[in-house]
Amino acid sequence: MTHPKDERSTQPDVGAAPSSDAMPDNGTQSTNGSNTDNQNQAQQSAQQQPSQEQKASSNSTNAAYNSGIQMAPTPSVEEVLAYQRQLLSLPVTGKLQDNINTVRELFKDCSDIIVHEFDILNGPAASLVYLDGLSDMRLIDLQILTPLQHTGTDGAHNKEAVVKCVTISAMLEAMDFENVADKIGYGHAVLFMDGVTSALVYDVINPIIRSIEEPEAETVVRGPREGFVESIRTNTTMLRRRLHTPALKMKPIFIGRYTKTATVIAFIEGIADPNLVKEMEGRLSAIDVDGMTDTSLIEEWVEDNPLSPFPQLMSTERPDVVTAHLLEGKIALISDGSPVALIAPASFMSMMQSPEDFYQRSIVATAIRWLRMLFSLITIFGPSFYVAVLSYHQEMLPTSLLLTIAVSREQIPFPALVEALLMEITFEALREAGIRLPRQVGSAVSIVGALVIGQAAIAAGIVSSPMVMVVAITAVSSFLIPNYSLGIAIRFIRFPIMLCAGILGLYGIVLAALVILIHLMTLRSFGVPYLSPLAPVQTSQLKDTLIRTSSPHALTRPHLTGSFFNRIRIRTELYKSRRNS
Amino acid sequence: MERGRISAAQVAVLSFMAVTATSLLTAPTVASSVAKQDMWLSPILASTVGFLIVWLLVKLNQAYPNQTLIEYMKKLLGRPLGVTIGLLYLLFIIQTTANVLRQFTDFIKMTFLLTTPALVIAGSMILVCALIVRGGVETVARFATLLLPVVVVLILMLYMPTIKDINAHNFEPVLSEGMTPPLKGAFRLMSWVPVFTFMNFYLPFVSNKRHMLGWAFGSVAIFTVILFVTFIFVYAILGDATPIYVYPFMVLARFISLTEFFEHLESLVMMVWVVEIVIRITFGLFSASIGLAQCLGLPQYRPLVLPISMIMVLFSYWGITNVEFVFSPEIVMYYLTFGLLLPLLLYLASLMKRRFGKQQKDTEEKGEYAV
Repeated sequence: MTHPKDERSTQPDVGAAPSSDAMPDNGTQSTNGSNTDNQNQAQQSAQQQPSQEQKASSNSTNAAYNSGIQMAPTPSVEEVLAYQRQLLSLPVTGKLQDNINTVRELFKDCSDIIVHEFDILNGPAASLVYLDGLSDMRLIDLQILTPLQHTGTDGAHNKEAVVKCVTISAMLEAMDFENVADKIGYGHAVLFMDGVTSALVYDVINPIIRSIEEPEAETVVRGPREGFVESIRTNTTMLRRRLHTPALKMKPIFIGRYTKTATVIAFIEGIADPNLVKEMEGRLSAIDVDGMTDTSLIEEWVEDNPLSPFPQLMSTERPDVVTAHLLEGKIALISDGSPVALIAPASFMSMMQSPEDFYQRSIVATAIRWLRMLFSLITIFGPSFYVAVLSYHQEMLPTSLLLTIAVSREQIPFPALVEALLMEITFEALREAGIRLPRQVGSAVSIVGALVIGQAAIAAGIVSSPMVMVVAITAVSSFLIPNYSLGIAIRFIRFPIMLCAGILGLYGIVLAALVILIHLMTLRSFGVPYLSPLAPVQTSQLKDTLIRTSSPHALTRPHLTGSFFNRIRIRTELYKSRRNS
Repeated sequence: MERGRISAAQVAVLSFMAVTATSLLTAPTVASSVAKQDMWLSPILASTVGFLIVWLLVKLNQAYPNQTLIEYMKKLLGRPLGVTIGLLYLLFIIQTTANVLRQFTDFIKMTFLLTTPALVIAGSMILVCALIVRGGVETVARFATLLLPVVVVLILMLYMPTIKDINAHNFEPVLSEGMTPPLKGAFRLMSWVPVFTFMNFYLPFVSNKRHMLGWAFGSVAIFTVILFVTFIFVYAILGDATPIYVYPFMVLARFISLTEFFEHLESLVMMVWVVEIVIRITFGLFSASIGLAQCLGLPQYRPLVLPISMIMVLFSYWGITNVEFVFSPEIVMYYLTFGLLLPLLLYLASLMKRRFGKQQKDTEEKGEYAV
């Protein structure tokens, strides 16, 4: 028997037409002797095939009948898969009844399939197949059934007449059942006609989407308030509404054998590096999984270093952020069923930027950016610095402060490291509970949390008040990091640093910081160094890293990869002459 | 073996930071013990040797663009002799780097972590360095350039507050005993300057070789300036007492008191020092690893990094009775032999080979004609 894993890779949805070598071997044939014969015959008559299959299986299990068991044996998984493959490989034939039978067999036990059989006025017999709820019934009634049944084809039995008759522009043609099944699954209506060897596929998808809202994780005070939703078409529309140009390309790719999630690689031709797009396409097409439920899974498949805590693709729910990055020559991934778009290549500094930076005055935005960087440093090093100073470097503190701290720590039974770990882990637990708990219980958590990290903890003599201060500052500063995934990573690396501080003091902190720095330096996102404008230094890009220059001064596009073409983003001379005239 | 590409500026920053590393903390004591108030002249005198070394290295690199010292030594001196001297040279690299590791361990143990075992300090330090070296030449170079601003800002933070304590009278009388004391001081500084020879292991990976000589001279010049400024500050503030302290730079940091809140900035010194030492050890560790791999003709140098770092930890204890031993004149001669004499001999050999090689070729050709 073949290994289960191998079986999967030869499943129907992979794309390649399955051949007889994809059939399950010996084990199946012993229970179902004429299976291979069936497949050969299937090419000629799809309609008889199912009955033959049943006949074959009943023949081979005659012994079971004889012994008095009345039930037909359950087909094994291999048999079911082989049968599915076989059905999908069939072409659309000229006989309407054959096609209907194949569709019914494919969608057997699917209660939401609708096969509507009717006669085209003055035309051939036809059958319309679609999934209930996924397709727009009103559209089908008005645009397909009404013209076909009331206007008709004037006696013509060819497909051109039908195409002329139906008033839906979004139409495709399907030649085989793999294609047909795919289209039906996406919510298209498929029209089979007697005497026509292809099926007409009409796009009548009924989009059920939630309304466009402001993304909760990335709010801004000034700036657009729309966020992506779960429907890919709506999302690409939002992008297209911002970039009215044919240069905005959206290459489709389908991921997942069963989910067949539609994914789109969006980029601007002429700005994005073609090699980057090719690389992304290559990495995406290499994915071979059962299903993709969210873009975060795609992220895990395409990123360069899966073991790093740092996110190597930027995730955002905001179309304006995606647009801005596309204009910088990056590429975006949008996937059906996920409101989160991925942007590649991502760099550390681009994730430290908030969309708000670009909507506020540049000087203020620069100041806020510095504030953010300062507080992310406090997030990383705050508690460990406290631990190191209290354990090893007491002389660094002014004497009066040292005395105060000593007094407050007098009653505490734990060393500084244990105290810090205790409080930080408690805070992380509270934070996690705050996200996961139902909203009704949320307030209870905040009340209890205030007790745990607060006056009560001090009064109980478990932690000292300076420690509570440190934890509170760390907690606040950790939420200044705009990118949530990066924020989690930064909060996580605090703990190893705290341990190093407890063991080796400031020396340990410096070493731990260097190790993290080395990791960040060796990390790459799609060939672009993670600390890109800082290491290696790219002076032209520092304008949008440590500071945020006003837009007229950002003359060149970022230099992401080796090729640096089309680099001028603003024609300054033109601007100046227009302003001065 | 190594496909990374770095720029001339990165090599310059890397080597000057590496050489500055240990000299910043201990060189004032060593120089002042012989040169007294004229010690500020010593770095300038010592820099001539530095310029000579980098000039030799760049010239040799121009003759053999894609080869390190080990490789062209094998070519110039023949394989047996080349490998033998190459191994000795690697021993020199490992030993100097181990000396630095020992200095660092002693420093941390004496000033901050009094009860921590020395092995923990040396081991954790060398592990971080090994991590960088395994990242390749690009990581090594990028690491130094990335931390340059940090080090510069921290050093300035230490210098600035001490300006008010400067006493220029400490330098009087100028050159009262002639040029001998500063020359002696310059000689003692030779336990740092020859470290510039490690640069030869980085030169083959430089992408813009045209600017290499300028950057290499700039590297030595900046090293000289930093050392000069440090000497001025240290002697102007501490005066005759400079040779008494093992780490005068630390003492300087203890002097600092800004608004009675920023006191005791010696932890800052320690942070600068840690970063600098990491760069210095990385500088040596990469050289030793790639050098050994080339010496033995191995296809990869990365597997050698961890064993060599272990050997370095061992060497940091082996035979070093105390830190003062590192600065003794015998050691200086040892440093000069490999740091200056070897490149000089190789350069002469390459010149001779070029000249006589040509003649030989000519005679051979003539011989052929004669036959």
